[in-house]
Amino acid sequence: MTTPNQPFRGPQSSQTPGLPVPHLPGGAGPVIGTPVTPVDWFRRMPNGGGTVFLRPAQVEQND
Amino acid sequence: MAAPASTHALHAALSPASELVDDRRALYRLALELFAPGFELSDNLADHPIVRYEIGRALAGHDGLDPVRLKEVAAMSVRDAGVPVAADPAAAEMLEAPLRIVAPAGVRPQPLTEADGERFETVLLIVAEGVRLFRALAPAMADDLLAHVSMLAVMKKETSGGVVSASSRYVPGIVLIDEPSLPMEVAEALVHEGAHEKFFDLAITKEFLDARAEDADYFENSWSGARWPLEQTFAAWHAYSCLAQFFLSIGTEQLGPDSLLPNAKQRAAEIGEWLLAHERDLQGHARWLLHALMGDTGGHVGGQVVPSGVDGVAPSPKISQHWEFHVLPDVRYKCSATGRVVAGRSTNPPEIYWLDEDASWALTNSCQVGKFATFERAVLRATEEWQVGSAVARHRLENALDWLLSAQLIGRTDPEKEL
Repeated sequence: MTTPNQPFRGPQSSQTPGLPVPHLPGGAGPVIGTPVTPVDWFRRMPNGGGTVFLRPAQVEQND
Repeated sequence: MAAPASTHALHAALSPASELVDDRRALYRLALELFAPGFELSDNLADHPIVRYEIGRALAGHDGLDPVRLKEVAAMSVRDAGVPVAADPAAAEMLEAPLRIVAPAGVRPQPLTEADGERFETVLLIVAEGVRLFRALAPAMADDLLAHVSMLAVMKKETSGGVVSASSRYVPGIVLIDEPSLPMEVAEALVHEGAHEKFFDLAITKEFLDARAEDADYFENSWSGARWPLEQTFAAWHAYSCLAQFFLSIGTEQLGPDSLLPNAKQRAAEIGEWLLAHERDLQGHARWLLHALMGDTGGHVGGQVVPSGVDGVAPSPKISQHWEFHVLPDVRYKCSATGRVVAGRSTNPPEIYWLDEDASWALTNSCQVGKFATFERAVLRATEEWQVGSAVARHRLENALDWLLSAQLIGRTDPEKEL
């Protein structure tokens, strides 16, 4: 398993963010979904609901 | 040789940012149509974080929706610093919800506004320079993420309670940051929180998480011991993945004192490995993005889908050739610029569904109220328009109609039985 920012399906080379969108390898496109997909997002009400980045003194809640 | 794929390339493979935003607007417009028929949302209103908060509350079953209130909150003044920055002296009141949601216990963050005079103007320059820096260092990533940031609010340092930056699923589109000293702090915050905003938009327009996410295992990270539910875990992994990519582009830029960039790659890997072990709890597009960003080259990235569908059960098409179909009276739908259809039923709270290409075609072409079309007529038309054989058209249409029936978006009649 490789780590993020390494090449996706292909020889490894230096990652250069900010370049024009590269061509994705054939056969690696997104999945085909189902014909009718319910939107559950608004029904689910997880605790908090905030993604908060705190300084180390308050780190327990960090994302 | 294939160029390496980056977060923005993979996002674009799911949906280019402009299309994702347009899909999101279609969803909010549909929601408003369900609550307040005839009330139109401009793009500006549809993008406004507080408008989306109010609509989201209504969709969650909390209170109704007052269209007049939406126009009032959208009147809040902002200043342009590359992104709209909350500037209205009344911002503390108007942004009460996001400020309250992200605040640590016992803290009441206050936004900097034009009422703070020179202090606000100084911060505005730092924010503008931070946006410019982000765009200069990683232009494609900036285009990809900033498309989802509708507003930025700066919290006064003495009131921020240790919050460096924050965003909220309940108030999507607004990024809150502590009063910055360096443009790089702003740039990093926009990567971090912009990634979250991107995720929020993906989550409501693509197949990422369903209701089962709330019952999934919690992830405990190694660096603070914090335990996160699946949704927060995926959001954190996604943000760290973007931060790790951004770190590669910053050259010799000075980091802020609280920068996560040096640790981002390691943390993304740690979270990503856990997610891979729990991928059964993710939906198809989330799983695809996870595998792709984790560098999965196994060739099975695109092929595995757990049908999320209606009640989690894939229907078995049994469509009679004589049936006629119609959109049910309490159903409304909107088409996005890409042709995707989002449909909803006026239940309380409403039920909303994204339709794929075939289901969109079926709903908008063969199920129109007052224009009942038999299945056979629909097959003929689909064969022509889709330029496929009649057997293929029949199968695709059967599948789409059966799903639409299961979701109670359309009804059917059988004229032969009514004779």
